[in-house]
This record gives sequence, C-alpha cells and structure tokens, in this order.
Amino acid sequence: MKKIYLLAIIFVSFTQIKAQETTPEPEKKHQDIEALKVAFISRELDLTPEEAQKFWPIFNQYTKEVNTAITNKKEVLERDEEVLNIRKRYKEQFTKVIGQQRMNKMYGAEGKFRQVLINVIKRQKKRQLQNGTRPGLRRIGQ
Amino acid sequence: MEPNKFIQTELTSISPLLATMLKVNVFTVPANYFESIEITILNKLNDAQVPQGYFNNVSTHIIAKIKNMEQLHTTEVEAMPALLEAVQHINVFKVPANYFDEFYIAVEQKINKNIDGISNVLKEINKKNTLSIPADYFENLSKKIITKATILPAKVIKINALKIWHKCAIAAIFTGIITFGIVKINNNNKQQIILEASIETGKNMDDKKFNETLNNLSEEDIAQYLAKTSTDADVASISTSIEENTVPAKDDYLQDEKTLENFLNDIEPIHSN
Repeated sequence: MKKIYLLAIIFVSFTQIKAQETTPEPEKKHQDIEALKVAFISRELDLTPEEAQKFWPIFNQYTKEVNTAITNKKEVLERDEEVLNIRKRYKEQFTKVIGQQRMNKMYGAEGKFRQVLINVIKRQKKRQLQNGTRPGLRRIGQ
Repeated sequence: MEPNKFIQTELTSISPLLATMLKVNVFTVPANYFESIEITILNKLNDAQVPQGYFNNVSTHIIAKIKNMEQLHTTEVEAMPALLEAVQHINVFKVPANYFDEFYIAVEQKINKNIDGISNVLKEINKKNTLSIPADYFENLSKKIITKATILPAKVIKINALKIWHKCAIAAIFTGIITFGIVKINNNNKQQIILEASIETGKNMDDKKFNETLNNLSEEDIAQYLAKTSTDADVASISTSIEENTVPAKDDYLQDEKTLENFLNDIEPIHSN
C-alpha cells in the first residue's frame, strides 16, 4: 500500500518537473507578447531608472492578479467586476510611483496595446484577402 | 626668659590648667646615672654568662628530663586499677518507684488531658472502632473479585477493520490533494517566472526587435493571449474598432457572395468559449 502511494507521488512529481523543463510554443509566444506589452508601456510612460525600479515589481504583481482573475472566474460579469476591482486597488500604488497623469496613461496604454495586437491580425487578414487565400479561416479563440 | 604674652594668653584660652603650671622638670635621675650606666650594663652581662660545659651536657639533661616524665606517667597508669577498684558500684541516677510499670498509664492520662483541650470530637470517639466491615467480608472478598473479573467481556478491536477499498480511497484522496497542491504551486511559479522574464526582455527591447517580434505573431497566438489576459469589457472596446475599420468594401459584396459570412466569421467574439 505504502509502495503504491509512494510511486504515485513520485510519478506526479516527475510529470510536473518534466512539464516545467520544456516551455511549449504557445507559452513562449505568450511570453513574447508580455514582453512587447512591457516595451510598449515603457515607451508610453517614459520612466526614469528610479521610477522603473519601483514601477515594474508593482506592475508584475498587478498583471499576475489580473490574469489569475481572468483564468479563474468563468462568469462574465463577475470576471469583469473582479478585474475592475484589481485595477482600482492598484490605482493608488501606481499613482504613488508615477503620478496620476501617467497612471491614467498606463491603464490607457493597456488598451492601446490590445489595439496594436488587433491591428496585426487585421493586417494579416487583409494580406490574406489580397492574396485570395482564405483556407477556412479559423475562428479566434479556438 | 620672660614668657611671651601672646603665647601665654593663647595657652590660657586653650587650657587654663596648662597655663598655670610652673616650668619645672618633674623627672629626677640619680646622680651620675648616665656616667656609670655603661659600666653597670657590662657588669650585668658578665653575671649572665653561660656555665662552663653547658652545651656539652645540654642533650644529657634533656633526655634525663624526658625519662623522668615517662617514669611519672608509668607510675600514674600503674596506680589506675587500684583507683578504679576504689569506685563503688552504685547507680547514681534515680528513677521513681514503679516508674516503668505505670509509664503508659501516665502517658495515656496526659493524652486524654490534651485531647480535652484540642477536640471534642476526638474525645467523643474515645477508643471506639468507627470503621465497620460487613460480616464475612474478607472471607468472600476473593470470590467476589473473581466473579466480577470474569463478568467483564474483553473488548476485541479489529486492526484490519478497514477494507482494502477504504484504504485505496484514502490514499487516492491524499494523492489528489498533494497533486492539486503541486500543480497549483507550479502554475503560480510558472506564471511568476514568465512575467518576470517578460519584464526583463520588454524593458530592454528596441524598435527593431519590437516590430520583429510583433510580426512573428500568428493570429492564433494573439487570440490566445487576449483570451487569457483580457476581460470581455476590454475585448468589446476593440471589437467595435474592428467593425468600423474592417467592414468589407461595397465591391467585395459584388465580387463574392460569401463576403458577409466571412466577415462575420472574422469578428467572432474572442470569448466565445
């Protein structure tokens, strides 16, 4: 009995370690886009080195909380509400480091960045339309 | 010499007795004392000379004295038995007549006397036996114990009461909890690592790299990213702009009858799941 139990634990740990070792392609892309977002916001805010030192740890924590809320909450309104609450909660911390004006700019920059991403999709679609190659457009989000 | 007046008055103020004393030497020395003292001392020293042959005989003298003392002690010890014999066999301590015969009575009387003063309860009890035992108690005691001991049934606890599937269920629950914990911790760590790495890369990204990375993204990558990081409200605001910007041109409808269908497919909401 004990042996089976021990084997189960070893198996689970092993698979977890294995999963951690290899970064799958989608995750790498996710990481790339996060980096782009950081670069984009960085340009928008024009932070001094001292400001950057304080700002990014807060931003890191904020992004983590938002992403967790989006992943965990399945109910649409609840999800929107939760994210809005997180944004409100972090408003003060961001204002302390970069001032109110740039805090507004930061939250706006998040939206702008989404727009940039959408534009990329749009360009790709336009190109596809021009080339006349529309091999069964995959629906977004699947 | 005339005594100084000031000294005199000062001395009078300190001690009137000293001031009134005459300045006369009160000590007397015999006539020619100091002239003849040397001769006197020398004479005395000559008198105190050691007898002739003193140091030759001193050891013999000492031994003789010790022997003399030993002799004295021996005679004393020899005389002891005679002395002891002279002591009469008489008891010098006196005990009242019948002291030991009546001793316990006297003690009891004293105790009774003291109890009178201490506790009335104790006095009332006196010498009665206040503890009672049922008749034949000790005769039947062992029998009673044996009967009581045999009546009690022994409780048997089965160690292997849990069936094998119970054990499996418990093990499965524990494994589940541990797995869930590990997965949760791993996910959190992974997210943390990805975010931290992204921030480092993003901070140092130049325009060229930015455009390069951006153009390398596929539609699917972006869609998945938006699905994981945006709320419906966020997406809704973008969707509007898609509609405005990507509505097909009038000519498209004329060229292809499926234009509207394709467009609707394109703007499928991101959170369609």
